Amino acid sequence: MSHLKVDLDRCVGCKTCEIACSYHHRKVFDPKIASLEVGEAPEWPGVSIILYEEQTGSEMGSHLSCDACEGEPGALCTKYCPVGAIQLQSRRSCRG
Amino acid sequence: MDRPVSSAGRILHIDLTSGKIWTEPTDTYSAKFIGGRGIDLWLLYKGVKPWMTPFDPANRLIFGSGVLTGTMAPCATRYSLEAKSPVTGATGSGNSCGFFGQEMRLSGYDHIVIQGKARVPVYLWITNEKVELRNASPLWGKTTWETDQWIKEEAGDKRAQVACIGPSGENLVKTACVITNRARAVGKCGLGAVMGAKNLKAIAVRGTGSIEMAYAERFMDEVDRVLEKLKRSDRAESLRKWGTYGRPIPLNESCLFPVRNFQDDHWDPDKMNKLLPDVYRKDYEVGRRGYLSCPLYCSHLYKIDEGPYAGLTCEGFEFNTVWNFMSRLDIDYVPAVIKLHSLCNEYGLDQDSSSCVIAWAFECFEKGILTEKDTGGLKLKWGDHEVVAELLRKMAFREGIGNVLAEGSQKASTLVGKGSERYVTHLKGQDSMEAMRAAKGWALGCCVSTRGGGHTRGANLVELAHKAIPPEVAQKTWGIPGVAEPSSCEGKAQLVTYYERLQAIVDSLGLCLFTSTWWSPDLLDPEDYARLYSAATGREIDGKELVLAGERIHNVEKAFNVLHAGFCRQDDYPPKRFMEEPVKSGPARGEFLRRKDWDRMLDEYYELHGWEKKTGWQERSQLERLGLEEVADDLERAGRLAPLF
Repeated sequence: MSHLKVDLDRCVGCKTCEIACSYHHRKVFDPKIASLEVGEAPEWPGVSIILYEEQTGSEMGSHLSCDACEGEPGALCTKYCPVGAIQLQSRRSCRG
Repeated sequence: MDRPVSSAGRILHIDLTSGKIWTEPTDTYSAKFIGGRGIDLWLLYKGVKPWMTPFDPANRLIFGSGVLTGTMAPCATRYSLEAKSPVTGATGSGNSCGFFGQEMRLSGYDHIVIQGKARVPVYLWITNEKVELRNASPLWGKTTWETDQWIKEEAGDKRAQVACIGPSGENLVKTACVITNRARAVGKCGLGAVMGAKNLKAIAVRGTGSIEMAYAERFMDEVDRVLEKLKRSDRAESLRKWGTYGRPIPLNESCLFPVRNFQDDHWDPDKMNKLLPDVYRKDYEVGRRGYLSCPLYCSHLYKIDEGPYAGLTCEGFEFNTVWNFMSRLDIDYVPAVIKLHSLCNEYGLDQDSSSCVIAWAFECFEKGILTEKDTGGLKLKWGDHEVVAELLRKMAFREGIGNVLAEGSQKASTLVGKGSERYVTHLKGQDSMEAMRAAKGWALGCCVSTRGGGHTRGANLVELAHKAIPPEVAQKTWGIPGVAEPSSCEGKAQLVTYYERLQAIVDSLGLCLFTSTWWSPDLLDPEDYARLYSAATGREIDGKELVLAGERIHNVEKAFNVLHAGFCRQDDYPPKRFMEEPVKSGPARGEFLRRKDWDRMLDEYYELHGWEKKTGWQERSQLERLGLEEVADDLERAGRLAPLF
């Protein structure tokens, strides 16, 4: 169940959310551990965002599962998204 | 703390001739030269000697991410690129947005220094685990867009970041640039040609490291504080709304629009009205693009559905493009501007210098110096965008007249002769793209620029907004009682000196100039940058110390230019045309750059730097104050240190 709702039409693809997320998890800037990953959609100029609800392991990284920024006043991806494309759903009743 | 934490920690050296690869610690240079452009420049200064020519294998091509690149600091997304320039024979330097700088740091390297020449075309594949030279023969002749896609597909990894050259770089075109993310360019100084001379088609980086802050929470507090500054600023809001092409009419009314190869600096308002930002937004814009940690997301995405350029989708363009492919060539067809911008990116051509040399050719054709016999049957008529597109192609492949234009207008004019020299506007040998007769401080900044022109090494934007700047802000920011109007020389040398140092700082941190007081006095100043730097690295410094580092970096560039190209006072004067031909129309009609005004501004400028007025050369005491004793020794040995008396 995802904690986040993303408006892909607004997203400018800056990937700031990735490093904001890694800061929450480990206090470093490291896209490979982020709970979300920004990429290019098949159709230009679209952007895709993958949300990792569970930890994944791969050769190039190990994305940590999204915990809706537990312990923070609000989700950091939401706070630092420059265009307001990411919204945190209620932590109690999350909807994808 | 011994080493700055916000650092990948290593500099990667690659010799393409021998295949030897080694590393050294970044810390050796961090305290004095910050990172990014600063450390790049010092590595260039130390490694490339005056007798080495730009296309010698011994020339170094140096990529440098900034100390804050890849972090949450606003616009922490830039990398710098330096080499000895084949255009000026002096400092070749530029930087670019995109994701390359971040990925480079994540791959474990703050700087990548390339020397030597590969026997066959290669590209570099760099990860945390390995550095590989890979065969680039299938890529030779390909555009930057094809190259970017090919390498990512070959690697099976779309997150790999690629800095590459197009056919222009391969063919040693003097206006060749380096492109990342299909649209982000390190434009000036012919650095793409240096890459081509090394048989190096591309560098691809893919990193799995992480970037650590010395004081993470303190750093994020500083990020929040400066983001708030950027949020409150009207000028920053204008970038968010329009990008860099926001308000062309005031600039045209200030007579800062180059028209028909600088025959005038004020464009026909009727033509301008056809190409206002609203038109692009309404008919062609399909989205926006931002890069890492950028709260300004100034880049626009365009799609052309109709006409000769239908089917094009691309990122771009910037305000420069408006000067380059609208007024300079008198083109008033909207899609053409987008197309020409994209063609430059695909061929790997710097659009500023390329449009300048083409405009020079157009004027030569107008004056009968060049004819259809010279151009292969092309009629170079102002406004003909299809001819411009064809000339860009000819330049990229050095075909026919393109082989002459590929040298830049100064060299091209020596090949053409017949009085064509009169229509060249170059600075230190490089085509100069800015209109400047009506704004004296802007002009001074462009003309003394250590990279041979350009408006990001000292030129200011504030004199145009002089009425809106309170005296106390001018005093606090630049140490002058007020900002004088553009036509005045008063206080302009101080502005240039301030921005030279600020820009060296911002480039070395890996941030964007649009976050700084360059764009607006209410944005980030050296103190803001020092606070970010200190929290990130653990090396506690204040704004003054950072400004001193900026001055040091600028002085290394200056010394490199003096040693390698023999530049002196006479090389800091404007193009002859701007000193002889006044602006012909518009509110600043009659303005030009008077020699006596320029003499006075230069005197003031050299005095502020502690350089000798007669030659413009540096003095030992100033270099020693900056901790550059060995630079003073080098200049003294070369007989180019200013005498004591």
